[in-house]
Amino acid sequence: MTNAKILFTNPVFEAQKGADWSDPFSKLSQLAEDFTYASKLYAKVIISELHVPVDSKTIRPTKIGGIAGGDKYICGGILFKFALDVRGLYGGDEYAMKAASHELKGLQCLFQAGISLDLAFPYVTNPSHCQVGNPLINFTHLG
Amino acid sequence: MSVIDYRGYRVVAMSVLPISSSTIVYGSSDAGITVHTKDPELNKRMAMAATSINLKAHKVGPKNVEVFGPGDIEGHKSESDGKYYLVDYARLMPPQVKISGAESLKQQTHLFQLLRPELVLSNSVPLSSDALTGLSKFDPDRLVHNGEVQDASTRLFEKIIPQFAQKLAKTEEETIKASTELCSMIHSAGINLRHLGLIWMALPAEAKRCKSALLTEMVARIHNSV
Repeated sequence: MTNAKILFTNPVFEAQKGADWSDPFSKLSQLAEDFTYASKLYAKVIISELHVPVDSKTIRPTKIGGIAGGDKYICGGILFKFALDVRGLYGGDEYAMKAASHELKGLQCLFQAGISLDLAFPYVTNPSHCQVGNPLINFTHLG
Repeated sequence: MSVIDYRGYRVVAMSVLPISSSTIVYGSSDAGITVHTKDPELNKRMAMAATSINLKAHKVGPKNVEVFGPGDIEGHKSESDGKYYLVDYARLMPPQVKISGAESLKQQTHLFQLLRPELVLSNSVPLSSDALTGLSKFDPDRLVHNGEVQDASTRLFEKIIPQFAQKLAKTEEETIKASTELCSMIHSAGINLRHLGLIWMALPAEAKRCKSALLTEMVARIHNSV
């Protein structure tokens, strides 16, 4: 952990803040693992149902604004942005995906710049990368 | 925040935040038409963070509001918990000047072809995140900002890449063999991996093992997007 004071916004963390923790970092680690597990699971469903008609999707897109970020989905308290060039802004889906990865890099950069002092990011601990069993899934995680 | 790649598609996951269009206090949520700098505390924090990564203040929108970082970043002060939230920082780094063929000239490459943070940090002058974009079209100093980013891009192509190629040619074989090590070296020098071809071209002809390692990386990356 850095010496920056980080304000976590996750309700599970908030609920634990006043408690007498014998090992707060293991709980944080567990929280990060939960987020990892849930976001991978829902992302797989959202991507698998890309070509399913909206009415038949398990997780349906929601309208919360934004032009460049692609379709948005909310499930399990997690916001998903599907990196597709839906408005033709980027000149191809692969470029929309590249721009989406810059989101994580920008966050990482700001975090390292120390802006997390008293600022609440969506959900930040330390950057980590993991490759899960299925070679088709690549998971890059900052949280 | 997480980026999840699955079956050739990409999804960004982040927790749902207690913010709305009425809680914005910094940046713009309408592509620079309305630019906010309402909260002195957040303004100060943004200035400190941007300065530490060598980004400069510039003017955004028809009212020429001075911001640090990209004009379309959004800083919110939540009404429910009073905390600050930042979203939409994909364009934090300045864009790279367009260099390649006609196809690239038609694309809005400022959205995805950005300079590396290492390059920005090593630049002699701070750079503007919104240089070479429409967000800074009302900025009276836009030509200065654009020129600085063009100079940084030129420095990358004409100085940093050739120097790195010379250094790479002398690197131990074991380091070059490991893809992650190689990519990490390239990034540390402030070079984007999309310029692997330029590094390959700048390598001396006798550095066959280096050329082979770069070619492997290039083929793997192209295969990934086929």
